[in-house]
Amino acid sequence: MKAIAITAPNQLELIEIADPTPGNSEVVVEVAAVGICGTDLHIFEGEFAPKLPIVPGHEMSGEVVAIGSAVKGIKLGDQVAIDPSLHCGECFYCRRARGNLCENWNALGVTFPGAAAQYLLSPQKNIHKLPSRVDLKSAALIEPLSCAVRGFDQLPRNPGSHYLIYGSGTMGLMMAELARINGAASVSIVDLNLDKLKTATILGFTNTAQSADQFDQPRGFDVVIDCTGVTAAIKDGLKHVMPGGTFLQFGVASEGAKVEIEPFWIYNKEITIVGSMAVLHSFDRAVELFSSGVLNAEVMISDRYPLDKYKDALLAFKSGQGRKTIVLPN
Amino acid sequence: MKALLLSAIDQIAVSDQPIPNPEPGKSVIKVLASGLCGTDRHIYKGEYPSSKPVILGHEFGGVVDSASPDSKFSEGDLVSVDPNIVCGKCSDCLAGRTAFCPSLTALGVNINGGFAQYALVPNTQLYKVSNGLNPLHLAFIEPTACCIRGLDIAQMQGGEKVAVLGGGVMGQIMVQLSKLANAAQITMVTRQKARRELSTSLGATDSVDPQDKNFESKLQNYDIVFECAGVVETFNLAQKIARRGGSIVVLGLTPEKTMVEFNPFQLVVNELRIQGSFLNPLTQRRAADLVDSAKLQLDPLISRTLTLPEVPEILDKPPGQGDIKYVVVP
Repeated sequence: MKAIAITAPNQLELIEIADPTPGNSEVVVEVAAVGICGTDLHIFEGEFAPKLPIVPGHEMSGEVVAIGSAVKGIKLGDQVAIDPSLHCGECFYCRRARGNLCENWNALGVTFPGAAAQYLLSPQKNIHKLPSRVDLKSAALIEPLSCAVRGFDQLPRNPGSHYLIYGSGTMGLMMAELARINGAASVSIVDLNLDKLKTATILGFTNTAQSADQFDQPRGFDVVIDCTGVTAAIKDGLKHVMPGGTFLQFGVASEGAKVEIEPFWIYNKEITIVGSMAVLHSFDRAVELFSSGVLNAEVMISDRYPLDKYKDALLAFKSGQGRKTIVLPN
Repeated sequence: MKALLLSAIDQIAVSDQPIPNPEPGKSVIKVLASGLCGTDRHIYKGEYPSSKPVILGHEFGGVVDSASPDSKFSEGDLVSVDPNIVCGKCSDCLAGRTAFCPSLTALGVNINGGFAQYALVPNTQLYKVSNGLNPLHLAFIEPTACCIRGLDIAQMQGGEKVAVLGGGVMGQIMVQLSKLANAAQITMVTRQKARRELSTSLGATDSVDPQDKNFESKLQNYDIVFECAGVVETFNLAQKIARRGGSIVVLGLTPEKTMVEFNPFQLVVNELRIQGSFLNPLTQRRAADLVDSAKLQLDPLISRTLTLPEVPEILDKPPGQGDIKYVVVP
């Protein structure tokens, strides 16, 4: 089969390797779509360094084409999405149901071969079946949605809350959709890029601005979510948290980033500042939400590339202009 | 009557004031005990806003001396006072966020408080305790209520590793509350030896002197860190010693405009939670019942009792080595 291999920092190749064959509890999926995410770019640029070479791709969907002898409940032809997380199940955090903090963390597309290939080998337990009404080529959105659901699990999720979201890209818009279905009183979105704000408007989010000061919310917002990881946005976002409110750090900042805060304010206004890491018991719910149509895939996915243009897809993603970029390997 | 009147920043003196008369909805309390709190020192130095002139003292209780005709209390009842008066009608109050009521006022801060022989107190602020309670313990009910708020925010389930930063009265009560909440390990971190020894006699399983070489290596992987010192060093330490997925609860009052840094990358990767705990919203009843139940050891926390004329000199200098709580007996 054809696959993409990142062989060294800033180097990738289209390679020809043997088709995977399933072990007893494994499943082979013909990849329908694989999404590009910041993690892929970090691996490509050598900032996040698993063992190279690696076949990237951890946001994925496809059709089951081979199953191992011990696999139950999955059959050939099933449409599936795949949770990339390979939690060890044995460490301190796994045994505390915090597998996203696993001490022996691995993931398909990061430390094991991923879906930037015609076929993907996955453990059975990572496979989630999709209803037939789901468009398989859009279902690569389920994995980022499952991260957003984890982020929401860190929030109080009180109906009638006012939400402020920094970043009108894929993740910001997913957060906005989750806020809406969680009974938000209002959802406001900040982005410096006017084109990105236009996308929010297309999805029905009319409170958009290039600066949060433009929103009429004098007491601040119950929930502020940063989906940018940019320190200037984080600093600004903290200023707009209502007393008793919550700030969710969802965007991944650079490793040494520092943001100043005032402990008196955290104490005196009972502010909660919390982080959210990857996926935790949230993939199945993302499948349900995606299948129920919570995301408008036509709007969320802006670019599609064939497998041999994987590098172009990465660079298009890096330019930051579009929304979700996906690669269709078959 | 004798009362301690703050007339301006840095100006406080005992003066003769008229004994208040009961009014509709307000009863007169003969003050039996009134705790001196770090906030009083902050107010005295102008670091925390207050009205002037005002009688300070917000941690107090006493005996009902003359009840208003509409009061459910009888003369001779022993009562604790919740100093924080809220409207009960605004959206924050109705949502249970009474500490953020826009019309919040406080006895001993904006209205005459408990550093006096008598105090006029709204009946809504009175919480009856049994007449057999040591009257000095009345001074501990308000700080206990603030600590219960912190415990609620920490959402302890039992079996946790808890670190308490700061060996003052809040820290010593948090040690005891953590023990009552079935913490597996409770580590007190404070500079004064006497305070460390006190904490281990009250339920801390171990204690660490932050002046020791390599002390940080002894402090690892805490599920919950209670920041009860209100200084930059402890705020930073809390971020270092919290476990991945752990919580930091900020109970300490750091002076306004003091800034610290946090790392948004670590917040995400470690799923940390930083939360403020302010005042005693709706926890005074539980605190009064807990103190009344004698489950807390309070006598070891009383360093000294003071008469009113002794207070100004005490406010002028930092607390003595090993001292925890001064209780004013007017």
